[in-house]
Parts: sequence; structure tokens; C-alpha cells
Amino acid sequence: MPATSVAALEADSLIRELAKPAPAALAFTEVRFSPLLRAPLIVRGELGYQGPENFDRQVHEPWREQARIRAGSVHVQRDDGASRSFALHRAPELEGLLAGFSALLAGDPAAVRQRFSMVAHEVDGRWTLELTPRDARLRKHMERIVIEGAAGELRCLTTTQPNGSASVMLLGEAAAADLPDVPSRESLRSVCAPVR
Amino acid sequence: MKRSPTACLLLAVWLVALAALGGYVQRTLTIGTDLRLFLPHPQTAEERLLLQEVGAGPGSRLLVVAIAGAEPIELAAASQALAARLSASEHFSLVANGEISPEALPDELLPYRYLLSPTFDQRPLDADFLRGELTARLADLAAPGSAFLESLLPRDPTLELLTLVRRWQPVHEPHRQYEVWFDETGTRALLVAETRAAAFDPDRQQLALDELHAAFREIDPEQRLRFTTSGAGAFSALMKERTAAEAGSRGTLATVALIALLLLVYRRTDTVLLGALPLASGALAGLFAVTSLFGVTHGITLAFGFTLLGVALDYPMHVFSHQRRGRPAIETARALWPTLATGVASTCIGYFAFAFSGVTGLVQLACFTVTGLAAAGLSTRFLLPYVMTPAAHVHADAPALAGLWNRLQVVRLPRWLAPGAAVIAVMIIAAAPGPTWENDLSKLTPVPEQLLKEDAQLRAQLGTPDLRYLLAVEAPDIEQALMRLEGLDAAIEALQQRGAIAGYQHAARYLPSARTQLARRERLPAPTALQAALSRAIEDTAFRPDVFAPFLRDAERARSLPPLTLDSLRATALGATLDMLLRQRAEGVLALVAFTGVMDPAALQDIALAAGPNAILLDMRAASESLVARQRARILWMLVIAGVLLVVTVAVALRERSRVLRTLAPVALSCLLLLALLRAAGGSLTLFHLVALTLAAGLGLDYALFFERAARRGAEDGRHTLHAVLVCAGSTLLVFALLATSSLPVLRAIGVTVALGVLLNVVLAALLIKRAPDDS
Repeated sequence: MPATSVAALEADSLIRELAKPAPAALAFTEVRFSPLLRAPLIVRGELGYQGPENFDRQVHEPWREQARIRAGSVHVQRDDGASRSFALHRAPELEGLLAGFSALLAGDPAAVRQRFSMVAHEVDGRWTLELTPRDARLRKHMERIVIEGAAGELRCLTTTQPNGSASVMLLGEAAAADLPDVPSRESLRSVCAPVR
Repeated sequence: MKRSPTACLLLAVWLVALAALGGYVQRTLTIGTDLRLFLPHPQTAEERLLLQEVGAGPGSRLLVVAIAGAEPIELAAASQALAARLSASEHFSLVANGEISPEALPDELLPYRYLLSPTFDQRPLDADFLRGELTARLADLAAPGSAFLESLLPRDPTLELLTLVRRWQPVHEPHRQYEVWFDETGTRALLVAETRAAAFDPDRQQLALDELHAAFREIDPEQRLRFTTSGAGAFSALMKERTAAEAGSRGTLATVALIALLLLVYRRTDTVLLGALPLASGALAGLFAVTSLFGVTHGITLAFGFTLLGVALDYPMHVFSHQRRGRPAIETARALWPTLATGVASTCIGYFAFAFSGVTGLVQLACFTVTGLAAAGLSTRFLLPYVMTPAAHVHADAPALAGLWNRLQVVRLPRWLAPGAAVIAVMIIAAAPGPTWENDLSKLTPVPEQLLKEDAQLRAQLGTPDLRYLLAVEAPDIEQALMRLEGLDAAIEALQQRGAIAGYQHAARYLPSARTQLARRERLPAPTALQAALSRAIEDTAFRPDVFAPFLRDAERARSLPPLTLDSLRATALGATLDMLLRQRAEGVLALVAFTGVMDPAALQDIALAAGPNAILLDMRAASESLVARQRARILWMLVIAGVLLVVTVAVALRERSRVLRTLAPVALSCLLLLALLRAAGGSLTLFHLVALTLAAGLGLDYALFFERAARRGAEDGRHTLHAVLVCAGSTLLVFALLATSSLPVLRAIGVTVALGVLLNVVLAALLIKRAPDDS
């Protein structure tokens, strides 16, 4: 199928362009949609990338929380004293997301392809990369990761779960964008892929 | 020289009879391991409870498993795999490794969480409470790795089930990594598994351990991880295995050495083989008697019994060594019989005293040894000589023996030496430092110090229930027992607050009384009120108003549930734990409160006093020590009575006062010197020392009787007796010296005591027993 191979080729060069050397820090705004929630949860903070599979996630608003992910383990500490640590493989959706994200930041398309099948599009300089887990077990927890950006800049990382939950991570410049009081998936589209 | 056809026939009949007896015994013998058979009848309430609880109480069934040897994350995965594997096993009633498993309560019992949880005892289930909980859940949802919560929250937004599961942990929350328990250093994952078998049941403990080891192999086929299993049950199985292995390996070595020695001395295979027949007859007759009279024979009875029966190995040797050229064996046996019979009868009558000890294990011991020794003695006299061939070689002809005998006859020790040695021995026994007696029940099957230390460390890390203190409360029925436990809660919690204890556990923490459950049911808001409260709480959060319908349904169902009963919990993972904490007996219910990290036992005593009638604090160690002390006092009395009976028997048999004195003096002095040596070496004495001492005295009496006989009869008999006693003492010394090299305290105690005792007895009998000047 020629169309797929063209897309894959584009994806490879796109991923190589996105490579970021560790350590890197990136502001984020996460908008979390859940079937349990009438309005999405919005938390803001900073993501730290300390090399493959080593991440920090600091929430600044609306509460303070630190999460450290090191060598397959996650430790979450909230300022009210609550803390929790667990093995990454116990949260398959998080493990999948980090595997994809790590491979992206390393600029390693082969590593991405090892776990995901990829489709890339580009319209007017705004690109979209769709990752679907190859592992059926992981697909039960995570339907797809959609990464959006413009030129060499990552703007959004959207993870969708089969039960209808979704998390949209606005990164870098996009994290600072003004959001409506109750953002919808639609309203976030314009933040992730702004019309130029 | 050939056996006559009659001798061959008799030998065949004897062997067939032994084989038949052996077959019967093998079919009927049931070996018991319950320590209680070997303890005296309880006298205080504490002792009675101790005997019911020995090895069966909370804590003593808990095995602690430590997993080390890899990165924490791998250890945690192994811990999870192990917990999953063991939870499915029938040998374990409870497995916990810190993982909160919501399956602890079956689905149909889930609405009961509102009757079981104390959350709403202090505050109502209202809008304020729900608002706080929902806000916390939002933060939970936004945290990484929280996807699993989405399926849980609609039914249980306050995470009441997690509250319950935490309350039910058998341990006091240790460190956690990757959701499972670890030690402080974070290098060992910890897991506790509660066996269904009691700790004192090494056979069923072994089955549980086998299962555990199979699980280790399954989880870690490449054997990269190190698994350590610790706990009373593991130790009892380990000690049984190690004792059996060491006794087995040393026993084989001793048998080979013994056969070699006897072949060297008697130079004939058939003599050596015939020599084993009286002992075999005695052992089988003893086993037959015990299995016929008692249903279950205690393992310790057999171990002690076979030790004491060791005297019987000497009986045929006396006959062999006293053989003279041209004289039929029958005549030799007949000539020796008065002396041999005196030895057999006096030891039998002595051991018979144990039959009146009131301790089942000791009564069995008396039955076994008396029957066994009598059978061995009688078969030596009335069977063995008829199947022996006349002596081709007179063993005692060696000139060296004659020389030694003559020299012994002229050696005259100063008259004060023996009494002087006795006085010094008594002084040493009285003055030796350290406790004379070992009162620790656990020392009956002593576990290496190192293992105990490690176990204590692991238990401290996990905060598993203290094995020493238990608060026992009696009540007429379960409901009243649960109510009494609940009544104790406030006082015990106060203790925990001020650090007197680290934690506690009792049945009402799992299953509140029906009264409490009904009171909680009453406090649950009506459906409309709860719906209203929830709506108000939700307004301030981002949750959808309709997602908590399953929660409302459960809360509504809880309002009409009959209180949960012990029976309905029995099928769950909690059933075994509850049965252990809540004992149903004919006269009512006994409820136990187990404590962790007891710092202030006196405070526990106060609680027990304040708890009113039928509540006592059990100090398991004090109760077991007093039991052991009483048991030992009883055994000591039995030994004194046995000694008196033995002296009387010897006196009746020998008639003359001087002969009696001459015979018994070396035996008595040997016992004193042996005790003095053991005490001077610094150890406390145990039951094993006493049994070994008894064997040594029994052997020594035989030596003394034969020396006394020879001293009256002259040099010819002297040579034969010297030969017989040297072979007997040499072979016994060989066997028990090998046992003395064992690494296990029990085997070492028996080996050292018997070896030393035999040495003392033979030397003293040879030196002290002289032909009296007035004898003719």
C-alpha cells in the first residue's frame, strides 16, 4: 500500500525532527475528560524529561503534586501528604504513553514502531501523528495517542481510552493558551492545531 | 560349626515372629507430634489456655517470607505473583503482602461495607463528608496511573472498601514500595502467609512449606531470587527435617562403625547378627505394647524410648564375651542370668515409675521401655543361647585382659577419694553459674539462634502479632464476645496512642457485633436524604450528577441488610482468621485479642483487670515456663522414685549390704560427677540431659553388677567380664560420641551426656569394685 508507506516515511523524518536532548523541561496543561466528569479536570505544571523512561511531573495548579518516574516505578506525592508509589506496569495506560513519548523525544522512529503502528498527516505545516498500540492487551487500556504540532514544535498529546476517557496534554506554547471555562475536545482542537 | 536343625527351626520361628510383629506395628503405629501429649495437665486458667493455644494462636501460624536478590521492582513483582499463587492454595488461610485487593469481600457482600466500616461512627454520611471525599477523588483521578479508579468510583466514591481492607491487614503497615511490603532497607519484599495447620504440626506444616517452595520455583525458575521463610511452623518442620537428617546420617555411620567393632571383637558375622536380635525383639515388643495400649504414639516417646532401650544392645554381648571353650551357650546364659536379670529387672522397675507420672507421653515411655527391656532380657536368656553355635573362639582369652584385671584388683584408691569426689561434685552442681534448668518450651526442639534473630527482625518490620501476650475474653455466645471486644476498643486504642503497643487485632475489627452493625444501619441516611446530600456535594465538583447511582443503591441496600454473621464470612478469606480469633467451645466462646509491638505489658494487665470477669492476659511465655518447670519437677520426682525402686530391687537381688553398696557406689558417683561436669561446662540442663543420664545410669548399673559378680568369682570370670564390659562400653561410647559431634543441640546433649556417663561408669566401676577382704 503506497499511501501508508509514504505516510510512514514522513513519520520517520518527523520523529527525527522532534528529538529533544535530555534534560528538557516543558510547561504543560493537562485537560482530562472522563465519563464520570461533567467538566474536564485541568491541571497545570511542568514536565521534566531526564532521559529515556525518566520523567518528572510537577503539578502547580490547582493543587501541588510531584510525580517521579524512574526505571519503571512511579512515586506520587501530594502536598496534603498523600503519597503513592507503584510499578509502572501496574498502570498499563501510563506505561504505554511513556514508552511512546520516550521514543519520540529520543527521535527514534524504530522504537516507536516497535510498540505502535503509525499514521502521519500534514496540512498547512500542521502535522498529526497517530499511534495505535500493537499489543492487544495495551489496547484495552489505551486506544490511541494523537500527537499534534507545527514545524518542529510539539503542541498536544492526546491519549484516548476505550471507556471514553481522554487526556489532552497541551505542551510548551500551547500550555499557556487561554482555555474556555469548560473546554471541550472540540475547543481544544483550535489550541492544538491553530489555523494560521 | 553347624547349627542343629532345632536351632535353625527356632531361629526361623524367631525371625518370622519378629517380621510379623514388625508388619503389625508398621500398620498400626501412628506417630503424634502434638507437644501437648508430653506436657502435664494444666492447672491454672492460663496453662489451660496455653495448651489449647500452643502453636495455634494468632501469630504462631504466620510464616514470613522475605524475597531478596534483585531490584525492588522485580521483588515486588515476585511478591505479587507469590501472593496470587498462595491465595489459591488450600494450605494457607490468608496471604498478605500489602496489595490492597478489593476481592477481599465477595461482590454480594459489598453493600455490607457500610455496616462493617467505622467511618461513620464519628461523623455522618452527609454532604460535607461527601464533598471532601469527592474533591480528594478528583485529585486522585488527575494523578498519573489512576485509570483503575474510574471503574471503582461509581460504586465506592469514599473508598470504604479500601478502609476495610487496610483494617483487616494482619500486620501493622510496614514500608511499602510498588504497592507491596518491604523491609526498611528496601532490599527485601515481605509477605505473610497464614497456614491452616498449627505450628506444632510439623507434618502438615511441611505440606504447606512444600507448596511454598513449589511456588518459589514456579515464580523464579532460574533461581535468581533468594526466598527466606521464617516462623514457628517453618522452624518446627526444619528442625524435624534436620534432626531426622542428622540422626539418620550419624545413625548410619554409627551402625557401620558398631558392626565393624563387633566384627573385629567377635570375628564372626553370625554372632554380630544374632546380637541384634534381642534389641530388635525389645524394640518391636515395645512398639507393639505402645500401639496396642495407646492410639497415637508421640514422636518424643519413640526418640527417648529408643535411646533408653540402647541398654539392651549390651545383653547379648555379655553372653558372647562370657562364652568358654566347650561350654554350651545355654550354660553361659544360665550362669549369667542372676546378674543380667538383676540389671534388667531393676531398670524395668525403675522406668515403671514413669507410668504414674500422669503425663501421657511419659506413660507411653514407661510402657515402651519396660516392655522392650523385658523382651530383650528374656530373649537373651531364653532364645539367644538356643540358636547360638558353641564358641569356636574364646574372646576373653587375650593375656592383656588377664593382666589388666589383675592390676585392677591390686589398685587401691584412698578411702576418702570417692566420698571426696562426691562432695566436690555436689558443690559444683550447687554453685555453677546460670540457671540449672532450661525452662523455655521452645528449647524442646531448639532452633538455631541466628534463625530466631532473623525471624524477630522480620516480625518487627512487619509488626506481626506478638507471640507472647494474648488477651483472652470468655463470653456465652459470639454476639456477646464481639460486644465485649468492642467495649475494650477505647482502652486499647488509648494504649496505642501512648505507645504502649504498636497495634492490635481482634474479631470485632473484622466483624462488628450485630448491635454495632444495626446502629450503623440506623445512622445511614435514607435514600432521599443521601441523594440530596450527594447532589449538594457534587454541585461543587466536576463529577456528573448521575454517575454514583451504584453507590446510592449499595447504601440503600445496606439499610435493610440483616447483620453480617460469622457463618456468612466463613467462606471468605476472613473465615480462617475469624475462627482463630474467636474459638467456639462447648461452654461458650473464647475471643482473643492479639497485640503487636508490646512495650508495656503491665498496661495490658491493667486492661485485662478492667475488662472484668472472664478476661485474662495470657503471658504465653510465663505459662509455658511454669508448665515446663512443673513437668520437670514431676519427671525429677519420677526419677527419684525410679532410683529408689532400682536400689530396692538391687538390694533384694544381692541381699548383702556390702554387695549392694559396692555395686551402687560407682553408679551414684558417676551420676553426680556427670551432672557436675555438665553444669561446669556452663549449660542449663534439659529433659534430654535427664533422659541421657538415665540411660547412662542404666548402663552403669549393668557394668557394676557384672564387675561385682566377677570380683566374687575370681580372675577367670574377671577376664570375661572385663571383655564384656569393655566391648559394651566401647560400642556405646562409639555410637554416642558420634552423636555428640552433631550440630543440633538435642542430639549433642544426648551424645555428650551418654558418652561421658559411660566413660565415668566404666572407669569408676573398674576402680571401685573390689573383692571385699571378708568375702570368701
